[in-house]
Amino acid sequence: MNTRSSTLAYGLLGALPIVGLLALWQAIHLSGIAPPALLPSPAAVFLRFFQQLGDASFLQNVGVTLYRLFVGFFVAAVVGIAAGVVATGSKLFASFLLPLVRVLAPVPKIALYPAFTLTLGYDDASKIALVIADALFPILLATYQGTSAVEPKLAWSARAAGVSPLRTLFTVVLPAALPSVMTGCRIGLVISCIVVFLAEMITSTNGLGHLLMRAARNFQTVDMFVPLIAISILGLLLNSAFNALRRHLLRGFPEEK
Amino acid sequence: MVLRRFLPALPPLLAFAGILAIWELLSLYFGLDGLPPPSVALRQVPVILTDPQSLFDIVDSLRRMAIGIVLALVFAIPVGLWMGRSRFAAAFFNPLLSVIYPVPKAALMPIIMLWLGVGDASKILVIFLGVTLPLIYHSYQGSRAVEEKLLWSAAAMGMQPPARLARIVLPAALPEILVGCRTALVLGLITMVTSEMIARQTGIGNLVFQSLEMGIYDTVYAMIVIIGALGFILDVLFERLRGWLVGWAEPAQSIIVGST
Amino acid sequence: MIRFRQKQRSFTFERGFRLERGLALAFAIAASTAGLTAASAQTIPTIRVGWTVPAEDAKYWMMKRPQEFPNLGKKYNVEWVQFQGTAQMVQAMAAGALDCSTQGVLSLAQGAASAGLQTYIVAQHVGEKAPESFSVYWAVKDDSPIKSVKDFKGKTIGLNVLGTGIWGPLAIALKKNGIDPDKDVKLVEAAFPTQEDAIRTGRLDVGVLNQPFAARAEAKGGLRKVFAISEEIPDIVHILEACSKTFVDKNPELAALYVQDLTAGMGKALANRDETLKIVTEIFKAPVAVFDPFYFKTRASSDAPLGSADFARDPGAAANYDGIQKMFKLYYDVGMLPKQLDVKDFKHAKIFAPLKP
Repeated sequence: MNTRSSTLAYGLLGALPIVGLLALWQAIHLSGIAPPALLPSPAAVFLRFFQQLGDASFLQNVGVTLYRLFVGFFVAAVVGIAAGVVATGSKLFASFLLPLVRVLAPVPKIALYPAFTLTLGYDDASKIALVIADALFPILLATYQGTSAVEPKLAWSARAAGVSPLRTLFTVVLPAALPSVMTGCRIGLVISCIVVFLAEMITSTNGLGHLLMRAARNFQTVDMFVPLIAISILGLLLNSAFNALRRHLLRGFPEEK
Repeated sequence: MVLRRFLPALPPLLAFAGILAIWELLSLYFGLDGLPPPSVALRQVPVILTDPQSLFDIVDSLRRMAIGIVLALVFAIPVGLWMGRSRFAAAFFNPLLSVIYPVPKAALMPIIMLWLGVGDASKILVIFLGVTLPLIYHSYQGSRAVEEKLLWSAAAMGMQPPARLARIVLPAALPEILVGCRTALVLGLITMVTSEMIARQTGIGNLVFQSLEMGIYDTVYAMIVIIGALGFILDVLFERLRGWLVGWAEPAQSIIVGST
Repeated sequence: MIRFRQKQRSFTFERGFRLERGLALAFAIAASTAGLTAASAQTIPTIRVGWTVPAEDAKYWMMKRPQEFPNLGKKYNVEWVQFQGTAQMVQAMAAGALDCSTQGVLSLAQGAASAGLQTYIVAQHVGEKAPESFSVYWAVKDDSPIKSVKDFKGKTIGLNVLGTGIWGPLAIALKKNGIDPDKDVKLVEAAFPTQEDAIRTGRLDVGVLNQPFAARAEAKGGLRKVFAISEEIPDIVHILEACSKTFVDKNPELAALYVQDLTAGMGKALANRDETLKIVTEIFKAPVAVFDPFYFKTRASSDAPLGSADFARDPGAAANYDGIQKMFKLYYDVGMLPKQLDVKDFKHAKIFAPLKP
């Protein structure tokens, strides 16, 4: 099977529904059901988007958003994975952690956001804190459940071979649970995107979300949609990057033939 | 000994006490209106719970969340399972989902309001979108990991593809799907509240955001405690359900690496 | 990785069936609940009205004491939806999801100029009337080096919402002092209740205070006013009631009924302060102490603290159309509106407060 042509074929297949969505958007715009003040034409939005890509201040805003997004996500991933793995290994730690997770996870962290902005300021720190708070739990839950379901014999063999408990957890159990963990991280990544955008929309002096708010307040709908498609395109790029990383990390798993 | 029976309950209680202590210290340190200490906030909890209007609000929100979750289960799990077994389906849906999910629905509210108005429908849509996220991806993962041999045996015995999905892939992927369900429950509660941020008539979010906008922070934090408690109860119930459904999938003994 | 034991022979069928049955039951419950809620159809004409916080006393009376309004519930009904702010309600009206809503002059004007939203201004909820009423003001910490608008250059200034109507007067004051409002100051958007804390912790150099938060801040002390809106525009209009043109033209009697009740509601609210306070605490679930210090009060003298007074209300909820025209011109001059608007386009021939049955 020629993998290069099949990858191209699958790529085109994936592009199909997106093109369909854009066509739907254009059709709605043309039909006039939606007032142009609420829904501009996709052509106008994309044109403006490419224009903005050449604008330094726009790129600065994109950079700020990306910075907050990635820092928040990485901290959430590290903490979530570590906590999930250790909870599998230590019953005592789990008995403390699990009730906390059960109580804190469902709380809408957005209600805590004013407290964050008052204590951490209006800049990056409060947004990163919110991202961490929201992205942490899906990653933690997926890791914990994934590592708990790993075949115990693997851990026992490692321990019998003289590997320390901590090393066993992180070098044997965690890799075995990697598919689950990666799914959790994928969800955490999407949540990070949503949350950083939302936080910038509520209180911020810069970032993509802030740009959206400014445009919305001035009824400049084309400028309002530019950050939205920026975040969509970002989602697409992150998805491809994530798939590539997954293929690399999960080499050897039966499902990744 | 009586004490030994209650020992398992000790860590959770200590954990909660720990949170309350940290909260109290933080609010004393910062001394802001925006972060009232638990001693003040918790007093509002019985006030809220004994107000019939508030109880109605809470039940109303939970109703919307339930509808959103059921719709998500019906839609997301089959799609996720299909994606896991069919490269065609995966290649088709993955990019589309990755383009739709990261967009904050609050920004799309005006468009959503065009078709769904300001009532229940638009909120249920937001909850639906939030809940399908973990469900699709975990179902996808669970379905991918199903052993080929099982499916070959079923196909050899004459089972059609849709039946194979329902009878083989679904149960085998169930443990992973239920991980997705646990996260879905969490996200369901969160989106239930955030769906009421822009426009609302009744609901938990209504209680939270109204107090937030009026600066009545002890009610905000009391609501947070109530939502946390709700989430805890739902999670406990869910864990029971999970045990009943996939008890067979748990390893007979849990992983023991150390003495704790 | 093998995740289950082979000895469970019939698990697929048993567990699978259980799962499917459970799902079907849950779906049926959810569907019937959804169906039941949709089935409660309206038989009398209904207006969809948007509201936000606070100071819409006529509407609060209609919400909480509908029995005081003979037509409400019998000749027509109101579906109340609370929104996060006036800009969102403009969008909702443009999307056809709302018939009438609370509006600010600027958001309404921008809706008309940029979004093509055509509305009638039917009533006014609150405005300012210097010097006896409250005026939205900017404050700093007592020990701050900022003494007046001249010192705002390069500072971080708080606004509740970017592009809000109250920014107009401050922008003009800045311009008069040689400061460019777009480039020489740093604007931060933070909700009204958080402004006081933000000033005190130093997150903002200058914060904006509105009622009831001004009363609270003044009671606590430690903040000093540096600029009030009334210094630029004496009788600004803050909150009015607007209905979409399509709605009013199609349902004039319905709109008239609504405006009549708004007129009556305002009268009742002003005449029964204690009852109004009760209603307000019911709606906002805040203690009376939050509102009592200033509600409906006027300043004893022009030296009295601003936080001790309330906004001005017309007893018949009449809109100050001249004042609104002046504001349209101001916003156009300051660049917040793309084109000139004529308030006559916003006034219906017959339906506007005060409207008697």
